[in-house]
Amino acid sequence: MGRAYGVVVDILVGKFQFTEDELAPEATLEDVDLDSLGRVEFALTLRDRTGVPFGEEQVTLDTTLGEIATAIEAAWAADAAVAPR
Amino acid sequence: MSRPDVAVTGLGAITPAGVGVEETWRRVRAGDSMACRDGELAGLAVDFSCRVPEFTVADRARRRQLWRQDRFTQLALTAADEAVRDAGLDPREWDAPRVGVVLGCGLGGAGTWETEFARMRREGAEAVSSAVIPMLLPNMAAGEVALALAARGPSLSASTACASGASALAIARDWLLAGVCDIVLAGGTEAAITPLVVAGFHQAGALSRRRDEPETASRPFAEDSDGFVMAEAAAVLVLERAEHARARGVRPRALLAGCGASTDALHPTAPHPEGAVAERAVLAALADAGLEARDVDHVNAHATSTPLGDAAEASMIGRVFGHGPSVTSAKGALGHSLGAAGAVEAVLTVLGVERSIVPPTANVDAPAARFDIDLVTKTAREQRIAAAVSNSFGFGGHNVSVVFRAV
Repeated sequence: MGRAYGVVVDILVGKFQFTEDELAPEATLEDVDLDSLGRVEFALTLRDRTGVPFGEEQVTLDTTLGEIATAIEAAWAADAAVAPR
Repeated sequence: MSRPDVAVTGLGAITPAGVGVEETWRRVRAGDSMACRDGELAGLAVDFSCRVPEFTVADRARRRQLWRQDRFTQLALTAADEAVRDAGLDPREWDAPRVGVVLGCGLGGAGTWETEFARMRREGAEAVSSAVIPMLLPNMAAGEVALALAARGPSLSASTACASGASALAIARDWLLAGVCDIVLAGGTEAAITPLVVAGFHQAGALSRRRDEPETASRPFAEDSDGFVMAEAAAVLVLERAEHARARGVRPRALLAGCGASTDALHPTAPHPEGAVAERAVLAALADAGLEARDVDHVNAHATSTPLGDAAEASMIGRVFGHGPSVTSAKGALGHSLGAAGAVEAVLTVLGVERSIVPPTANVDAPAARFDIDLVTKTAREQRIAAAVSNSFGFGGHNVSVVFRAV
């Protein structure tokens, strides 16, 4: 996984106190046990860090970390104005 | 019909003296002082405080919740865990609907208010955390402790400023005597050493200005005391009816024998100069405990090191307790942890009763000559204590006294 996945992991480790060995691209948000408040904060932090707006439907219990990274990469590729911060 | 005894069966604390009851006791007993320069207050007229040393959360699931908890909640969780362990309780096995939580807190998430407001000003409203409200609500310490330990009886936050921790004990005692709960986790928590709060207390003239000697700035009952030193802390006591403790084979550490409260209704922040209304809280607590003033061997004073407050309390103690019980104030060592102070001092009073020791009032060689009290200074005093009173007074005119008895 690339740079976007690195941001996802960085947020989960830095803000939510996960260890890297608890995280994997195929892990869902349910697997990593982020509750509803945590998912909202995760989406807000993703937007803040990547410049990509995330709706609640993009961070459901079934969403995997890899899917989130892919969505970020796609948004970055589609719009040069949306850049990582 | 006589009322049941309310027993203290568990103690927990996290204070500037350290993590855990024993570390706090060891350093208070030694008369150590915790105040020091505080980098986060740099540039303010008062740039020193008593902070809790760094602490870790061992449990992995708990660690993942830290992001949504203000520090006052994190401190409360640490103290509650220790108290429950000390009481020999396993929250997985207790009768959850019969377990209550009541935690005093004066200011709630003061740090969250300040940092999130600054972030909004800097980066816009969209940068504000989704957890800002649950972080700053003062009741969230009680709510998160109940959540972490599965305590499903009543829970609430008591807010009577610097008397909050003692108010929580009084409420817990009521719940136990009314039969609403079998076990109550009661205490107080505060983590509000922020620039705005410190500036506010300073502007009100409440803080010591001894920038050149922060470690000896807090000197309760001294001739030259000039204000209190801001502190943070949390403390929790496990309370249950004595027969409930006996039934599960646990010996009480002490009895919470009585509580009393009154309100000055005189001034928003200044105490009655002679403590005339605070006296009623002490007398009410003694009556609740079925004791006379002369039965009291020891007084853990509120004594924050402010000239007005210390004088009012000394006057009141001298008047009520003419027989001269020993007096101490933990605030010389620990500073003033506002809504936590009443609970921290309750823990220390229980330990004093249990161990027959009165810790010294740090930073004070002798009380001011005009105070007619037997203040313990310099070194701890060995003393058998059958009954002790702990006082707490708060902005708003709140006066709360609690009485502990030896088992």
